[in-house]
Amino acid sequence: MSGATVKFRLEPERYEFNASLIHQFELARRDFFKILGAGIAVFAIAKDAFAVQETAAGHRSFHMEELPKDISAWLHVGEDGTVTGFTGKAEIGQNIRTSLAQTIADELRVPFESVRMVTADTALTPFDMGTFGSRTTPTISPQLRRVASAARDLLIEAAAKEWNIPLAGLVAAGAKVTDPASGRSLKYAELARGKTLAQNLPAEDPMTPASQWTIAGKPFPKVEARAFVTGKHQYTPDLRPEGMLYGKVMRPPSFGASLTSCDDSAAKALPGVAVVRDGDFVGVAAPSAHEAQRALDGIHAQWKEVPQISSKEIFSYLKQNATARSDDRNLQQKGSIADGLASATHRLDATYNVAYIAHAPLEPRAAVAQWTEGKLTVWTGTQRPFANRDELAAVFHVPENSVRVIVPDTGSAYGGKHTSDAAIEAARLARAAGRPVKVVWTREEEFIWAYFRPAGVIEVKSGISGDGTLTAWEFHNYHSGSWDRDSLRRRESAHGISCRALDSAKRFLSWLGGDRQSLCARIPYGCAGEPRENGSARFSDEESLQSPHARGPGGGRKILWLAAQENAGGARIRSGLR
Amino acid sequence: MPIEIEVNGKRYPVNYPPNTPLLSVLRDELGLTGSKYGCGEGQCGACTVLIASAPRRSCQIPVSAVAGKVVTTIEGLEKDGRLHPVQQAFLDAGAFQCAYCTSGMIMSSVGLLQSNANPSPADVVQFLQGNVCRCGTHPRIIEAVRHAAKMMQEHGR
Repeated sequence: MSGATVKFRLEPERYEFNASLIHQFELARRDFFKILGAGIAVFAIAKDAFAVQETAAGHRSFHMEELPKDISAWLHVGEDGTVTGFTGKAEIGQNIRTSLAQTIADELRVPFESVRMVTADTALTPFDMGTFGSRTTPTISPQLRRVASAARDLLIEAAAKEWNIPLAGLVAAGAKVTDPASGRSLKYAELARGKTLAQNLPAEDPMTPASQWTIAGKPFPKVEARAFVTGKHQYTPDLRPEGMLYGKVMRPPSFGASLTSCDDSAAKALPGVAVVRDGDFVGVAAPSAHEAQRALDGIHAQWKEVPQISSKEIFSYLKQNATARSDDRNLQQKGSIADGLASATHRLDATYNVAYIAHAPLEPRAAVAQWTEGKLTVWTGTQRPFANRDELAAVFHVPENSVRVIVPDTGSAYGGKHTSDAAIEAARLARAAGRPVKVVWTREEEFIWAYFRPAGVIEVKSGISGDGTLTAWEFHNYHSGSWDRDSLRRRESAHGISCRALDSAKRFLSWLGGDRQSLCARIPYGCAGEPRENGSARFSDEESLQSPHARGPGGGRKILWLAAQENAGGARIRSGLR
Repeated sequence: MPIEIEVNGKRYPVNYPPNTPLLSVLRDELGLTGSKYGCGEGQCGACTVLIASAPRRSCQIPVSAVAGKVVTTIEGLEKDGRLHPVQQAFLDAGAFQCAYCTSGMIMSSVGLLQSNANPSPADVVQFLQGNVCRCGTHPRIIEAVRHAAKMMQEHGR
């Protein structure tokens, strides 16, 4: 990765999204018509800083001059009238396949049924940083609405040209453009026929106000819902490409253990079984899951374990090992805490211990990987297909454009599916086996080896005056998140080292957990953001006060947030404290 | 001599070892992937199938135990292109988000309605305790099961 010199001004927990990406506009447009055929296309240029941060290629920061302009969404009206919307966001149960199609149908004035969404496929969709933080509806939905609005204008222009009359007065509705004066009309399909008309979207397009929406914002059935009630929808674990083998990975006895010896002769002797030993990675691929398990059971490995902190010690460990950082933007102190507390009418002092929490998506981590002539295709239920692609490219030392990551509509993620663990494992095994390999984590692996939401100790001292005005707020958050600059550098150097031993994969994997008895403070944390678009698990109401809450990173670092009387500005504590 | 099992009205020889969980045979050997793996411990219900009309966790049952018994999976509920009332009710109620639990929820609900044609919301909650929905669609699931019960009574199914 070439991101070592990038200045980080993003929210700290987003450091992990420092992805270096391709998808140049011209290339994308060319590919676009090649894939979809003739028609009318509109490309959205990411407009505001946050949208760019999420969607634009290249390295990102809030330094505006460094922000590349790139496409964030696009839309195609085909010669048969089919409307296709494209986004790099993934469908993980928040039902964006439905809601985004509603948005497009609404703005383009076409029936809901004529819109389909192509999502989260690194070969087909615009770059996207990831599906997290309940961002799809606020960022992608307006962009698709803008492209739909622009497409509608293009269709009206095309009709005016066809009839050789001025645009004014022409009406787009019901998937056709009508001239009220003469009563004649042309369907969108007819207008798109034989054209390869593309337009970059101006940043500011008028959009239909919410009060006039007829499809968006209304209850609609989940797209392809019938496939879900009949069991026909294929999640990643359901895929079975021709010749596929089943992969299993040997897990160490505890977090941080290293392999000292390994006798895999019995496994290698089994027919049809591929055995991979690559550094500390030991895995097998076999024609069936039970044969893979038998092969794995036949491998005798010795591990060197390292002492771990027990779950009983974790909170005191976090607090004792916290380090404050002077450059932390969250480290603020204004006024006198003592004075603020002394003048308070009501006090609330509390310590909250927050345990490591498994994200526990019902569909476990899974991937199917297939190598074809040096190119890798991976199907995996991830929230970050483009980042997964980059990690796979780095781990296997292939160009990013040799890796395609496709996200089948996924059985939820809850912030737990940012990394590419199963994808790396499946790809490593597939490369050795010369056949597609599927790896589906067991629930046991999920609970032990998946990254967790960070543990933390939160200490609060606060006071309010009689009318509810905040007089003092002292907030300390000691937590286990460790994805800071140092770990990013480690991660990048991990990308740089040879994959002969899958060391880089091991680096990822080694962050993944602890044993059952001794969960370790170094267990990596994941975004605690709730993928559901309703954001029900968020703290948004208190966000202004709690911005350095447990979602933050810090390798046990200490964050202080303080708002004393003089800068409280009459801020009232939310209902939680009243 | 391989054992034979009957799934959704079709007989299949099973080549996997007799102690293989029924779920693996269904998914991997027979390609019936509608039944889901969620935990492998019988705790989440995503793998629920009907064995002799009773809902069972297929991850906990060795395939040898269903030899000679009738197994119905989510793929076997639809008849002549018509959804089972429970499937239709889940569809009508939109009783899912990611829908990974849906197959198991539907199979358990079919089992419930066979033993209790008119379950109260409390009955539904009680019966579906063993089916986990991580997305939180429970109110709609309860609504769907009650709606299915009504449809089945009206149509005498």
